[in-house]
Amino acid sequence: MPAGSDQGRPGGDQILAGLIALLFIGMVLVASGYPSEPRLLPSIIGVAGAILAGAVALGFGREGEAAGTAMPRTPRLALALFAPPLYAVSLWLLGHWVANLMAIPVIALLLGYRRLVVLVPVTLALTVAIGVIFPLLHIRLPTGRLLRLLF
Amino acid sequence: MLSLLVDGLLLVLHWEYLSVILVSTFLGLWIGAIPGLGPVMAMAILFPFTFTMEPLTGLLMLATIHTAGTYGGSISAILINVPGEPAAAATTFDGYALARRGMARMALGLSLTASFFGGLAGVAALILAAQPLVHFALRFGPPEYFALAVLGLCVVAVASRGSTLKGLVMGCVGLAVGFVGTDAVLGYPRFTFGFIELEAKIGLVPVLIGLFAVAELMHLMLRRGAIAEAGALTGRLIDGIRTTFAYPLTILRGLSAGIFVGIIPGIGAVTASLLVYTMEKRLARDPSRFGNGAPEGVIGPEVSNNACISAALIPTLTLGIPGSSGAALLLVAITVHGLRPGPLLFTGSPELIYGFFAGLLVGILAFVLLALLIMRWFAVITVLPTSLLAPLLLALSLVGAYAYDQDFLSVIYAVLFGIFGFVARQYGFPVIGLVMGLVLGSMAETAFHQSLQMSAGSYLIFLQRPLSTSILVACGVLLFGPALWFYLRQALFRLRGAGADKTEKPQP
Repeated sequence: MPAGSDQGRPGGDQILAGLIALLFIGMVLVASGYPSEPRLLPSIIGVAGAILAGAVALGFGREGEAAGTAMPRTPRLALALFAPPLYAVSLWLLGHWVANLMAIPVIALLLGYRRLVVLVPVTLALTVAIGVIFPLLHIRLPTGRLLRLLF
Repeated sequence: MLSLLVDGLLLVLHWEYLSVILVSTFLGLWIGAIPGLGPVMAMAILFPFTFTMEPLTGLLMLATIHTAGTYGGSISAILINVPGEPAAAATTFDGYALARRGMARMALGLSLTASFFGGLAGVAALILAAQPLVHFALRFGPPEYFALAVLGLCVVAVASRGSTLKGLVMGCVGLAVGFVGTDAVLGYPRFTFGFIELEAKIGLVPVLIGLFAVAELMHLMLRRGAIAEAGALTGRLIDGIRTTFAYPLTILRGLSAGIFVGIIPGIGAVTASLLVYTMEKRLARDPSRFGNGAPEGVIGPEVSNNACISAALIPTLTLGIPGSSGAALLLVAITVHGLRPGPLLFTGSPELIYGFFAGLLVGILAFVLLALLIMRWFAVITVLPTSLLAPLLLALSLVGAYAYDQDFLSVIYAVLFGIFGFVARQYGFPVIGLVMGLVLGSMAETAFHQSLQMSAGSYLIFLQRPLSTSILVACGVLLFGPALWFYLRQALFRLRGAGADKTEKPQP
């Protein structure tokens, strides 16, 4: 289903383009406070970007496939949008071991996966593999701010 | 030269060098496939170990990890849409599309064969044509770098799927992202809003992990089934290997572009692979195949990025100017072992340098053999249910983003760009434009300011040098040529039509 609207409402891509245009306008306004050389290219790109994004927002460049598809309104959309930031927060608060041992099975179960006999060992295997390989490469894994405060 | 190369080959086939090559290849393949790590990181970590090694052993270890890691980046790019190495970003477009059609093994075969040709050609250029190629590279100064960056952005915008306008918008977004932080030439912090953390530029790796990995796993969460939409694997590794030979022109174009970009310091394999991808799409009879599993979409980028990393050794060894980050580490390794890059390196230490060249060739064969043995089993990932795969990918991607510089800010960038990439893709905005804008933006701005310093502020410098003028003219032709040609044909058609009416005199 195309994102464009037959009833005159703006499509999702037009709204996104409008938001991008506003960002470019903001960029030009912020850059206007810089000295001339640092200001030059951001101003040029900001104006160009605002014009191009504005054109898309007004309906140009949306023929056929270029219009994209409408966002599906399902509970899975909420999970898809919130899972990455929530996982990132848990990684920051709880660290690699706790966050992964919790998040992987929870997200899998929410997505409908029910084979615990596969899920549990796979979760353990990935968590342990990351926990072993990365330190061998001298990469410190996040230890969790909350856990550091508590213990 | 041939006798020196043969002597070098006989030298590296001793077990002590061969074992180093095999172990390094194995390490490089794995590290290259893990997002956020990459061969350069592995080289940096293992670099201190080379101090106690013999020079040839140390150089071979680093170079082999680099070559194998560059190919390894395409494995995760094809199987899970996550470029393990930034240079594999372009491989995701059609490699992952093939995986979704259940043809992951074929895609891996395409990538393997293309990488083999690319690596071989890059090393051949290094051995046979280092001196003339480097003289050509020396003609490129800041105005030419700026013109090349503009050309790259034009190519991507014009070849963007669906809408050139949306492609240009995304290019501008990429450029805007590149402005955040302290500028390399001017030293002025921009768009940091007082946050010291933003003064360092936004890294390419977290952005790529976000746009490709996080965005894709969000799409996986929306749909059921497996990456391979039919739920089964078809095709074999050998199919991909055979298919590669059916595209000799793609291979030649990829080799030329990869070597050309490799010999010019500072551009990099990411640019080479993205440029070749858009060029192949532009030249294809049916561009709509791209993004849906076109073999050229895998062959072109893989040939070019592997040719590029080998060709980047040309300015490194002949001039002491590293052509890439990996080449920079090799340059340091060379100097640590008491060798000096330049013409004397070739004549003063021929057994070392030709042993190194022979080792590079053996390393390429080693990654092909190892990949043939183990890659077919990796393709099974594409038939796992998305409900299991998506959380695993989420964990691997965001931990990989953290691993990039062990700063949580990279995880935040990955999440933000992931959400943006998810929404942008849904509404037909091509992310390749953003990636190119980010990659080329800083190069363009640095070159722009350096050019103005060279010309004391005169903008005419870009039109006063033949090379930069030619490249900018090519940009104009690319952007406006199709529209001008269309109007010209319409005008000619009208003229012919008017002429035909005049010759047909009405009957009395």
